[in-house]
Amino acid sequence: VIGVILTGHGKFASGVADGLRLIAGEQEGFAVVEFTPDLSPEELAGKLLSAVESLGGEEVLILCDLAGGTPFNETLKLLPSLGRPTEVLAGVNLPVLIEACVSRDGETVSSLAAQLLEMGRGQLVRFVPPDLSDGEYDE
Amino acid sequence: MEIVNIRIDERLIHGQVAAIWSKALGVSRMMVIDEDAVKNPTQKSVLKMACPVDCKLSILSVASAATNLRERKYEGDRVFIVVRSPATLRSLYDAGYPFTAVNVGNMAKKDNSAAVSRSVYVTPADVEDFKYLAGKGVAFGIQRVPTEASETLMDKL
Repeated sequence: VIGVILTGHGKFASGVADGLRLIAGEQEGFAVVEFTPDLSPEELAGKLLSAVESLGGEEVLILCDLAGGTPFNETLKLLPSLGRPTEVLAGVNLPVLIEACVSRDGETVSSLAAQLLEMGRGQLVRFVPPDLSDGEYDE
Repeated sequence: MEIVNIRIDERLIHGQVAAIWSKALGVSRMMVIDEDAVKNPTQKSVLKMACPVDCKLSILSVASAATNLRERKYEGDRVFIVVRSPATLRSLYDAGYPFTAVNVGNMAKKDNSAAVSRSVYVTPADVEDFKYLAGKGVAFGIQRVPTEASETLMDKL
């Protein structure tokens, strides 16, 4: 089973995780790590490491809010010491988190990460009013 | 054509339906049966945006839906039906499209409603409609997402 960790600045991770639970229900093998103003980068790294160890998954996916931010940077520094296949994605949004949690069964973490990258890019959408005149939806 | 779920959900197509149910059931067509949505371009636009990109979308009146379903118009499709209220399902049943099981998702709190679960509130009129359909042998299970257990609605009314 792939463990999923969501980490980000302030309450980003716990807030997005709350949205995940509302939409997809309670999740197993999932943990949140917040980078709050009271933490040093080293303390954040310690929390990330404990989260990986407490999940105990054979493989781990770490989702970060922002490429280049401290949660992301500390995650990258930890990779050599995690001792299991791990993938990292940054710029994560709610659709990616939901997809990660509901689609991970039977996947390897590398194929999961590749799929999430692809779908996540398509999930930032601009609303353009559709043409309703062709009666497509009346069928 | 296979009807993979019939759901009561006041939010029609939203996160739980679009992101979770549609994937879990391999839905190829979302069918919204709603007299208001049929007449409202704004609602149609919102439904179109909310519908998963890999799903076709039908927005129909009860009468058109009953006809299309009876005539098995959606050959090869895995159809997910969503309605706002049990009243719509009662009309669908009486319009000549019988069914045996219904998934109850979200029904919001209203002035004269009573809580049945955390996400289901029913008015006296809803209770009437549920009892009418239960009398025809329709089973109602409260279930927000597929990973949660389904609870029997009629036991709680």
